[in-house]
Amino acid sequence: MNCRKVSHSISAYADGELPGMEHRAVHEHLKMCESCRDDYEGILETKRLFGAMPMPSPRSEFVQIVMQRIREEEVISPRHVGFWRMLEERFRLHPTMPQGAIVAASLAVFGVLLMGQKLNRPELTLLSSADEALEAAPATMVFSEQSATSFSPMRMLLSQKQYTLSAPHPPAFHWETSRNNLSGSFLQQVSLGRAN
Amino acid sequence: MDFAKLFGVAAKQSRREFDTLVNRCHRQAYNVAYRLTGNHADAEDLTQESFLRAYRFFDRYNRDMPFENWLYRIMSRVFIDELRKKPKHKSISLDAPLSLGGSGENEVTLEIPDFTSDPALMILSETLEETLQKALLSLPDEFRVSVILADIEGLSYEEIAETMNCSLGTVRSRLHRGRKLLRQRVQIAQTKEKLNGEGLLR
Repeated sequence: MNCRKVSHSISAYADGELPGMEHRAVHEHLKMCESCRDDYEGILETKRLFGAMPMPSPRSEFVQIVMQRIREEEVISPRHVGFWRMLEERFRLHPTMPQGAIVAASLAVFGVLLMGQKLNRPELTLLSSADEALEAAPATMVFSEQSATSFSPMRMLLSQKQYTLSAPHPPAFHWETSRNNLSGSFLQQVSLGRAN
Repeated sequence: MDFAKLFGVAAKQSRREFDTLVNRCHRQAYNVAYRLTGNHADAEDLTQESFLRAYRFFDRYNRDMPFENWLYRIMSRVFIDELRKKPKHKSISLDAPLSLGGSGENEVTLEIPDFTSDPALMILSETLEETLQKALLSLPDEFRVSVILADIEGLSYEEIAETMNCSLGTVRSRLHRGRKLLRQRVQIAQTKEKLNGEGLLR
C-alpha cells in the first residue's frame, strides 16, 4: 500500500473502521513510513481535541419550553400529531352522540365483518377418517350425495366423491368429505352457508 | 366508555413517552446543535425545531434505532435545509469531483485554500474551545455534521451513514477531509497564538 492510499484510509484506520485486510496493510505501512505516521498522530490529536470539548448546557427551563411548544402545536394543528390525536379531535366534534350507540354500531360492524369472513373463508377441520367425521355429524342431518358448493380454494386440491349432509331447511350447515389425493389423508370441510 | 377520553389517553401516553425522551437526551441534542451552529440562540432554535419535528412524526419512529440517532437525523436535515435556505450561504459540494475529465483515483475535488500565510486573518488570543469551535464552523455543513457525530457523539460510520442517509464511503471521505481541514485550522490558530505570544503580531 502506498502513501496516497494510506492517506485516504488513515482516518478510518484511526476510528477502527477499516476491514481486516486493509487495516493490517495500513498498520504495516505506518511501521515503515514516518510521514504517514505523523499524519496518523495528527488525526488522533484532532479526534482527542474535539472529543474533549466541553458540553454546553441549555437553560434550565429548556425541557418545559419544548414540551410547551409541543402542546401549543397540538392545539393549533392536530393533524400533525398522529392518528390517536386526530381521532380524539374527531370524536370531540360530536359530544352529543350517545355512547351506547357508538358501542352498538362498533359491535354490529365487527359482527358483520366476522360473518363475512366465515362465509368467504370456511374453517377446515382435519379429522382422522371420513367415518369419524360422519359420526360427529348431527343426527338430524340428511345424508345425500351431491356436489358441494364451497368457496374454499382447498376444494381444488380435493377430488372424487364429495358427500354433503344438509339440514332440511335453509340456512343450514353443509358437510363435505373427500379424499385428498395429494397426501392420502381425509379432509373434512365444514362451511357455513346454504346447502344446494 | 368514552372514546374521546380513550383517544385522549393514547395521545397523552405518547406525549408522556416523548417527554421522557426529551428529558433523557436534550443535553446531548443541545450539545450537537451548539457545535453545529456555534451559538446558544441558534442551538436552542435548532434543538427545539428538531424535537418538534420528531414529535410530529413520532408514530413513524422505528424503535430499533436509538432515539438520539433518529433525532440527529432530523437535526442534520433541519440544519442543512435551513442553511441552504439562507441566500447568503452558497453551498458548493466538496464531495463531488470537479469536471476536469479525471476518473477513479484521478478524480479532482475542490480543496479549501490554506490561510496559514495570511497575516490579515490572524486575530488576537482566544481560548482553545473558541479555536476549535471556529474551526468547526469553517467546515462545509455535511463535513461538520459528520465530524460532530463521529468525534463528539461517538457514532459509528454505519450509524452516521444511516443518520445522514449516505453511503459508508461518503462518511469515510467526509470524515477524512473534514479532519484534515480541522487540523489545518487548529495549526493555523496555534501558530497565531505562538506569534502573538512572542509579540510578533500587533
